[in-house]
Amino acid sequence: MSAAIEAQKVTRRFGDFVAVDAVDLTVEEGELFGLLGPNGAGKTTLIRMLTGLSRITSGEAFVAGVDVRRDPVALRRAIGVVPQALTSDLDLTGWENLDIYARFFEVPRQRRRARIEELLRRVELWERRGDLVSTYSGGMRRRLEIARGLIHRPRLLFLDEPTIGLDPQSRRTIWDLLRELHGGDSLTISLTTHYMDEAEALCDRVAIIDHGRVVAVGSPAQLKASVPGSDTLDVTLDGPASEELAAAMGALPGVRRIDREDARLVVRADDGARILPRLVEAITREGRTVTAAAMSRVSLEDVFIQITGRSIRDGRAAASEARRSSLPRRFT
Amino acid sequence: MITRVLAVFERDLRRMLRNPMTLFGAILMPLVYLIILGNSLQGPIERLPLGVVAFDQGPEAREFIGALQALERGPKTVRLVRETDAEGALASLRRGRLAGFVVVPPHFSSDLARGRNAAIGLYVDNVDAVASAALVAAVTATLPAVKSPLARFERHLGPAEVRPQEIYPRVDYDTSLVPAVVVMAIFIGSMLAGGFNLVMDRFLGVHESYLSTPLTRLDIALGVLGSGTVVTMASSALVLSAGLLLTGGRVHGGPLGWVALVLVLFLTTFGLLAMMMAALGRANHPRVGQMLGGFLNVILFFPSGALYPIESFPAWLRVVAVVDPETHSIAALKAILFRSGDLQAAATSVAYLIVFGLAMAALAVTTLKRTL
Ligand SMILES: Nc1ncnc2c1ncn2[C@@H]1O[C@H](COP(=O)(O)OP(=O)(O)OP(=O)(O)O)[C@@H](O)[C@H]1O
Ligand SMILES: [Mg+2]
Repeated sequence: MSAAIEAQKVTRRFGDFVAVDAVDLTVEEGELFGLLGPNGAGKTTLIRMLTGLSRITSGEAFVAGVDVRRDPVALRRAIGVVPQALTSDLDLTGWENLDIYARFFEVPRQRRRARIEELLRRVELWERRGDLVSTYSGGMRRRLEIARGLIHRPRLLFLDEPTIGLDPQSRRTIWDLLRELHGGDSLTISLTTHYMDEAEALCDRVAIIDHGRVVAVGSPAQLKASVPGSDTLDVTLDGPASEELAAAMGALPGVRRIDREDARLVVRADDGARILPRLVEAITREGRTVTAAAMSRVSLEDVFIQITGRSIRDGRAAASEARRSSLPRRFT
Repeated sequence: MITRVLAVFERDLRRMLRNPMTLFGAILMPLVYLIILGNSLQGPIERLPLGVVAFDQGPEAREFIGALQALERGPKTVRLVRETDAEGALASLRRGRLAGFVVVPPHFSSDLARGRNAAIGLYVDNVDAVASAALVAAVTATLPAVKSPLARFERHLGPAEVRPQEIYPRVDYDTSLVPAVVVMAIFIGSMLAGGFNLVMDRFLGVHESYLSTPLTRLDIALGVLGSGTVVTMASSALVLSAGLLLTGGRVHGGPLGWVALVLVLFLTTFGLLAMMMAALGRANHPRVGQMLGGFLNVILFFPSGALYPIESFPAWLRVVAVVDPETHSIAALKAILFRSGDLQAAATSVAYLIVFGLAMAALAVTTLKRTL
């Protein structure tokens, strides 16, 4: 079996509710694969099934060549898991946290020390190894947990929302780390995220998951190519744009679509960088003035809207994220 | 497997030792109990307001009143309040202004002189059982002052209790509380180590992370049981030593007594810890754990005879007391500490604790296998 993950019709029900609905998925060895979806889409539930932490209601899954439902012990030795919630022990030091996990995997004492040092250096926590994790920042904790997931040299690493709740700089650090693990160590990585930019920046391939179903799979480029007009030009005029003006601009070669919004014209085009100067020129010829212009490339967000008809960060989703990040760090 | 269990064990131990305030509280609270409860229950009862309604001024009546006045001046158990009529006295009693009152009937002295029985009415507010018992005892003791075998009291309250004779070396109330607070320390320790820590780890997802490694549920349960036993036994041993030091008590029975003591501490710890793990095995939120912990404390501690003799309980509460492991633990500790090292007195209690511990451990393991 060459695929790192092979899921067939994997389904999970909670009572009548279908959290994961007949998901088919293939992740190749050495891939950095992303599961992208809004809050509640079923990403965590799917990952928990693939990592043997949750029962599969129906369907079957092979991970690292192991039948998930048959051999949980072999599965756990083959994969590393970095869960969505931060679960490192606040009352232990960074070193101790890794040490107990190494012992869970029964890594022999001599190899343990070397391995822990190597990992702590790698996630840039070596200097802080003797500090209690309660003094770490969120990003440091996440890095520690990534190191923890690698303690037994797994072939495949699962990460559930590895950058949730982190500031942009910490996110970058995690991204760099994941790229390095993926590139340098050719580790197979499967991560979930609801950040479009993250999926786009990191993943070789992405599965978009919504309401428990995989609605699209492909590389970010392939997925974006499915949206007509890969670039968006946003042009603001000195006053309301007339219908005729919009129609005239829409007739320019290369323009796929045009929307009029008061003083704004939103243009979809395949090659925005070349269209933009012509657009401005044409508007000026019509005797109007362009006061602002912006161009954006089509993003996975647009892909998501195209497929599901709504934005990934809709109301309910934002609320549930706020709830989660306010979870107290510690109860005593 | 040993490696894995030891890893869990060590992690739990480290974590508990790094939260010294929690441990400190687990030791301090029982000791505060000992000091406050010991002092609040131990002092003699004084100046209970006793109403006196005297309808007779004959010599026997005066002797009786004189004896009451002596009681007021001497041991100060009562403070006498003159009342003119029984109705007024009864009203005061009901409003709690009097702890009780006596009525000397009009023909008391003359009846006695004529060789008839004569009764002094004794009305007692029995809302507070301890105070009323003290009052009855004190007032009853004045009767011999009336030098007539025919004089008696007509009590207007339930049957008084007969105190058991003290056949063992006298134990101060303070010292007799030591087993109770030691058991309380074990309860608190096992609640923190076996209950709260477990629920918190589950709540925060720590167990889920554990289970994505080769660690099994049994490994986790054994690790928690082990670390909880060590910490709880240590804290209860500290409470025991401090308690004996504070009250001037000592362990009877020589080295064997000490061995028996450690055994009882161990069995109690093991049993309560396993019980906590079984009870809280299902709780998935710390609040549920706290609620359950408080509940268990009440239903185990008070019926255990820790504070008041089981002999005074109604039948249903005695049944609770019999199955309550704390009852047996306290009985065993009392036997070892106070009954001159008579270890046989502790044998049935120890046997019960063994059975209880094994049953709870089995229950905990099966519960946690499903829920952890
Ligand atoms: N144990 C459970 N019992 C009942 N419903 C559950 C359970 N776990 C998850 N669900 C439901 O399944 C759905 C998918 O949840 P899941 O946690 O997998 O979403 P997610 O994509 O990981 O979302 P997020 O981005 O918020 O982490 C949600 O509607 C959730 O309420
Ligand atoms: Mg999730």
